[in-house]
Amino acid sequence: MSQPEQTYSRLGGVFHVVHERGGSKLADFYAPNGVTSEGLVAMWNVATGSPIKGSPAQWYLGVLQKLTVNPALQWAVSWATIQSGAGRWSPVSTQLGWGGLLDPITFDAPINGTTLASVVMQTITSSTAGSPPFIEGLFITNAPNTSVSSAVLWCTAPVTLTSLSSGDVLTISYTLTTSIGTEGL
Amino acid sequence: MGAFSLKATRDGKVIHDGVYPNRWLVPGSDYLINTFFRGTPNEAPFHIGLIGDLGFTGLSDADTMASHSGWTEFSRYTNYPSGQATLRPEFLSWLENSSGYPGTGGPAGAINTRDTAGFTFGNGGSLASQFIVNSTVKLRAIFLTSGSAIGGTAGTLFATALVDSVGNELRVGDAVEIEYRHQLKTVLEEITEFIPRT
Repeated sequence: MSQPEQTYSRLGGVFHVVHERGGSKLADFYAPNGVTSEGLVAMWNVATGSPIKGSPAQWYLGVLQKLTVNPALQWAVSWATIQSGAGRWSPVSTQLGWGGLLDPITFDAPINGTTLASVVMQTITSSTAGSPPFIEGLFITNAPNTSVSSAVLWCTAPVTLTSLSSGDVLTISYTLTTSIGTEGL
Repeated sequence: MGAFSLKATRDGKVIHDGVYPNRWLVPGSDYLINTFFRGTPNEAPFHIGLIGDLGFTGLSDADTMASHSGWTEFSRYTNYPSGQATLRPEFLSWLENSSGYPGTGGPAGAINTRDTAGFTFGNGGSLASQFIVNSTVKLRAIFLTSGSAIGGTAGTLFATALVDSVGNELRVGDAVEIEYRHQLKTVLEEITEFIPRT
């Protein structure tokens, strides 16, 4: 007798980072995201009509310097972690010319369910040479800036970007793929 | 991941008690993405519906509320405790902690949600009673939807679950309690399959 199977919604997120200087590509890589428990709770709350911290209508890309996180524990961090700058969770904004604001991103509509919610890529030009000297993390939140006290941290991703200089261009995209997973019981 | 727990009682005695894993459907995944990331209005509250054996040939992952050729909703019940004979019971989601009580927390990286919906057969509304007098049902499946009207085709079909390949016979006056639990969790996986193809 065959075992019954259950299916579930599977979400996989990945960042694509391209670092360029003077038209030359210095780095081009993908980094997996770590979705937070705070993000999952918020997603379910939005789906079922419960309020969440902040608005689900607009999301933002943020950059962290000196991030050190065990990927197995990425689920445990939250917007409060980012905002507090605790440990090495220190948001970067002014150094990248954002003036304290995070970069808005727009998700495309999913297609046929196995699909994608992709992100409009934003070009970031660092405005201060050597500050920060490197970037070690990316995150997605619904907070428009780092002073917002109540928001949702959807995910983070450790990355390694060293030796940033004024005028460098970072092009970062985030692609969220949904699919249906199957698991036997 | 989600599962329905079903308990049926007759004259105060449990006649059936089982847990049935759901099949979460593509429209359910799209719904999560659209409401959370794109500002699409939510369709809450969710509702739980029943599928009987009349014309039942099977569930399909392509089923929607508007199109499901393998089954027909069983509609001859009264929604308990509201006494409603026209609306499906609501699924009022809450988060629960690791002890099973409402709240946040729980096991590492996982969040559970659940709710209980009650169905009482032949208890209440005259219309329902009239139908039920001549109608027992073999329950075949359960579904979770945003559509509220019993027998309606509106709303998103989020998940279905096969209850029994033969069907559990229910009779007039039987009470059915259904609990739906949904778990959200993060897992580490290789990213290869998530990198966009160019």
